[in-house]
Amino acid sequence: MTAGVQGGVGLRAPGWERWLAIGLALLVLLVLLVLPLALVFAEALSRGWAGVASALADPDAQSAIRLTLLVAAITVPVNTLGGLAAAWCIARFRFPGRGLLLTIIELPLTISPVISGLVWVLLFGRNGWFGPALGRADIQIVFALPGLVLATLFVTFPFVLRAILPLMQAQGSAEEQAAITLGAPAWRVFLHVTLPNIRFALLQGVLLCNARAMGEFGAVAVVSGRIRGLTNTMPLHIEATYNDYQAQAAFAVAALLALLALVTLAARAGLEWGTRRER
Amino acid sequence: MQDIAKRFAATAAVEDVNLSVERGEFLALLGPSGSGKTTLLRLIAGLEAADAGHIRIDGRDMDGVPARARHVGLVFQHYALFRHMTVAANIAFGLRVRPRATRPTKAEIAARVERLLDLIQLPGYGGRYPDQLSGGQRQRVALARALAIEPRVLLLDEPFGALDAQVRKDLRRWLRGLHDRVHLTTILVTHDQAEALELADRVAVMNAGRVEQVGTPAEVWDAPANAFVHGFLGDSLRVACMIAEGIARFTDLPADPVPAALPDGAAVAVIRPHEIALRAEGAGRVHAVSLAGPLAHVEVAIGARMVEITLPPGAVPPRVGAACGLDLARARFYRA
Repeated sequence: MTAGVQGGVGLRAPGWERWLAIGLALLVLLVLLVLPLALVFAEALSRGWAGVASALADPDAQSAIRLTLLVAAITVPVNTLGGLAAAWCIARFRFPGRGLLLTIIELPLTISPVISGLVWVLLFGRNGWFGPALGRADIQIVFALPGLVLATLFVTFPFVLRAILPLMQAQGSAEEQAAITLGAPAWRVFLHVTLPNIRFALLQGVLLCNARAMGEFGAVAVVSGRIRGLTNTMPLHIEATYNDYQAQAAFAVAALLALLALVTLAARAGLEWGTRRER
Repeated sequence: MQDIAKRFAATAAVEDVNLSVERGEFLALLGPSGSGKTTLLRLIAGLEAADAGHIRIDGRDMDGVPARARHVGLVFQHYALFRHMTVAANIAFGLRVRPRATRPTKAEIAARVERLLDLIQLPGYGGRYPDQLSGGQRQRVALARALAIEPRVLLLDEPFGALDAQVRKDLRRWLRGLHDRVHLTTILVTHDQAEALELADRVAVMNAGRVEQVGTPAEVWDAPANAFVHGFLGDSLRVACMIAEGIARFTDLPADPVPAALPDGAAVAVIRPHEIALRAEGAGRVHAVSLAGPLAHVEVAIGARMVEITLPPGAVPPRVGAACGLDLARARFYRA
């Protein structure tokens, strides 16, 4: 922190240079982020609110919204619990393969989402490893809800873990040990000591995980099969309607998705101060 | 509490330790870092599992008893207060997490928190958060939190290690006073010999996972069991020597032979700076004289070494550059 302050003071440029740099950054921000986003909303509203309402009332759009919410409702809690468990193990214990685990957990962030989807097709698709067995048992995974959930789980797994692991490692386990020696059972240690200490970071991770779960396109596109009104999530529905030359309908759903993302972002910003307090 | 024996062979962090602490006694585990004293404390607390041996508290074997059921109060070097709880909530924690059947009522808990806040001389601080307190205050809160559960043993892991010198001294006095009033069986881990000697009823000096000597502060100071204990308790000079027929001849320092009650063979002489007497002539030369403080210190260059001597009160300090010799007659001798 001290270094940052000193750096800030040392780097204070004379007036016009500073304004040039700030202006340039704002321009880039405007052209690359604000303008496209504003365009989404403008296009969605090109036929007024009625156009938006009718686009969202479309049965296929309704199905896509429901499916997206359902996938997020399953994957976010699962990955929150999984991320908590994994972070706790990595932060609190030394075990063989710990370094490998740390690397593998980053995998979903580094490989292309298409591959993240493809692995499930290779495993559970009709010609995949378990395809024949699943076919005999009449269980549909790929091109159905389970496939969508699996692909989304895979892609969004690192978010919660990455949000809380550095904090847990920095805080150490002394407080938990103190709680244990004071007679607290494990669940109370977790509830009263571990969780409150990471709550803001955890919420941040959950929000990010949720944003990605709702917005994921690549991995979901591979496993979905894109059956309209059945396996299309919101991002897939947006692409499908756009390809049908229904630009306004596509942008209406896109605007809803973008709105969800903006709410997430605002919530996250609100949490920032809380996280700083924890550190 | 009686008869703690602990073998911890695999990593040899603690080996063949046999110690017993009387009820109400204040024992200090003293040793350099890495000597196994903290490991021993964590074994007693149940945060670490022993590979062999038994720990008994009040005659009850603690084998298989989890840390939360041991009823020991542990105070950490860096306090480990719950940062998101107030001081009062921190102190009350051990009572609030009890199962309903043995949990005191809210009013009882609040009353006990008030009493403990008085005890640690922080009345009215209950509503504050740990990050609003100084180091010394935090450590007292940590102590109150450990005392709240009325532990059978109080374990202190370098409790003053993170504090500055003056606070450390005050807190030390206060802790000893507290112990004299409540007579709680206490085990203190420290690497500071002055702290151990001042606070404890008995001191166990540890080295490389073993207990080298156990005794009262006076015993370990006056009669160190071996060269390590002697060297660890304050500054001292070590000189190699050969003993033949009760006479020690120093091999790496030009000083006159002195009588030594050890069998023939190689030995090591250990002597404290104030036990070395200065002679008017010899192979040494006065290198520096420091008159600051109540006692005069003299640095003597002799052989290839620099030896520090503390002069007795009232002695006339020698001139810098003058020739001098060393009298090591008061050295203690140990087998090499």
